[in-house]
Amino acid sequence: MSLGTDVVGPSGPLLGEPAAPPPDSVSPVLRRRSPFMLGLRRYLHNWLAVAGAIVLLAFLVTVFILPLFMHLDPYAVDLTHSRQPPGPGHLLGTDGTGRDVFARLVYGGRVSMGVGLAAAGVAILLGSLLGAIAGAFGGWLDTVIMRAADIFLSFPSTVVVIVLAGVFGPSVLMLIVALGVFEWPKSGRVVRSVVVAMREREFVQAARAVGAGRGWLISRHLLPAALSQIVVIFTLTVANCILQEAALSFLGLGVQPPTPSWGNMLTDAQSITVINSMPWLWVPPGVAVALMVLCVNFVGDGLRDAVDPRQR
Amino acid sequence: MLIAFLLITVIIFWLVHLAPGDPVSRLIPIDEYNSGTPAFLKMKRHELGLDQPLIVQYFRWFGDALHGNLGYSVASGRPVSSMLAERISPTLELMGLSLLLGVLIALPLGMLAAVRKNGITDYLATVVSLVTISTPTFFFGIIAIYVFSLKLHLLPSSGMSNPTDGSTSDLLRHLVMPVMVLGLATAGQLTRYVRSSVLSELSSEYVRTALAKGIPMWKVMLKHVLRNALIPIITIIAIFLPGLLGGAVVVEQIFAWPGMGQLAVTAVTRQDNAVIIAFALMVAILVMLSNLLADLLYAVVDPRVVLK
Repeated sequence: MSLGTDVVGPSGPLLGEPAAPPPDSVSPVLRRRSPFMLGLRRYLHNWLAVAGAIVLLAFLVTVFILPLFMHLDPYAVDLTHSRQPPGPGHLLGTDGTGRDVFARLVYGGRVSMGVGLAAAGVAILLGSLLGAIAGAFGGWLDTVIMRAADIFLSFPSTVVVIVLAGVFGPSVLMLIVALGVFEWPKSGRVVRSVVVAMREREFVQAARAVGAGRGWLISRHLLPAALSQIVVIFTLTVANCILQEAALSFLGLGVQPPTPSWGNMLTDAQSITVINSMPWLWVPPGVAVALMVLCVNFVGDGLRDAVDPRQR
Repeated sequence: MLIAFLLITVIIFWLVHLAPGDPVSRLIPIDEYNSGTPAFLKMKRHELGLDQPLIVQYFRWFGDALHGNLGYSVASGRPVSSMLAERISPTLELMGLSLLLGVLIALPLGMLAAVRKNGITDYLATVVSLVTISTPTFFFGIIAIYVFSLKLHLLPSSGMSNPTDGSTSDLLRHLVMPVMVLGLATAGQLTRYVRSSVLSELSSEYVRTALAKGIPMWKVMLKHVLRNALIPIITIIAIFLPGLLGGAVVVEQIFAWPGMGQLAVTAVTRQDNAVIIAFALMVAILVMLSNLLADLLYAVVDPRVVLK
């Protein structure tokens, strides 16, 4: 829920709104509510989004805080106890080399979420910057950037990473950069459209009148105006990146073993015997990715509806 | 788009150039390469133009690719073009049928969700489509194998056909699970587009007019709304195609479907660069064609658009 503060707090579009006389039907209590409180109210009314946020929080606590209090070693090999079913000592059993599945699940979660967050971060940074430049400058720069966005968008990033992994060998850094570079156009388009809509608003004109340059306008007025939308896109991009990382690691082209990730934990489950008789090896990481991504998507959808109820 | 395509072939060529390994090994059959003396390889290098400037090499490579000469696989020693040729149709089959299934699910579901906006159907459709979007294809595939192959013994878990049984029904049985998995993933994404596209049409004035005239809702939906709502949906489907290939790669891997994706993944794990590059080229062509298709379809379904 900490995300909520960032989202609706500095909601720029409303700052620039001319002070229209409030309609008579609106009660005085409602009129005094800040945009943030209104957004929060809308978010809390969406119980799926609230449930998503709660489960997400539980995930984050398990993955990032639990290992501080509990001894978990995802790399400890114990060949005498390989493929043990869940039981005392090994909460979710052990894998083919006797490593604890629960420990790998927790540390794999760190890797998967880390890659997802980092890749989405790269995408949002690139998208915001390029989108803002395209929107604020216009002209040929706008055309070139948006044309590039179309081209990037039409290439499926999964396939691009497969090719890059083939040529340069798979690595986490390449995964983050490649996913980021191919996910930027979505945020770029959104930021551009907000910037174009804001460009001629009074508060921007006022800033320009007192001598603000383009860089200042972008960083102080136009990007903050797009912030709520950026957070929404960021959330949805994180979900997408986690999913892509999982698929690529599953194919053996993403995070490389022994480093655990939710995707590569499922790679071993490609054998019929494992699928049939050792569900503890494939059900937990699969459920973890699906549930995690689902929750992030619920939160993202909830945030979008809270920020801009007209889109629903 | 053609310029973009040429630009992409330059990038692909540049990647080839950066890739580790002796380029000669990609361009002649591997047996010849392994048994060749240094003098022979030097001669080959000259013959293949690898001692020429990069730009000359690019045009040479591009010309060869246009003639269908994509070099030789390091792993199998076979020409890449013939390896690729036998892989294309299984992938297209998988993608085409999955897309069909996806559309057949998404259209009614999305329309229903839009008509009953904020109702229980809408809610369910939204949740179901989000669940299918969020579940990784490979996990979905493994669940399908577990249920249908291992527990119910209904369907084969891998391959495209049984070598001892070449009948059509055997092929169909092998098709069911891959198409189901990829199709449902596609349906999840499409449903949301259908819903929002139909919603934006439902608020138009012609809908209100038609309803005011007393035309029943289902008739308005099929005769008026659907036709207009389809315009953006059809272009979205065309743009979807490359992404569908990404999904097909994963599905082919799970079900051992002998398509392009499986070929590419095997090539990557063996560092078989000639095959990887050919795959990249195929992807670029697919992207270009689907963009072209989107533009053409746009003009076909919307008479207001005139192609120049």
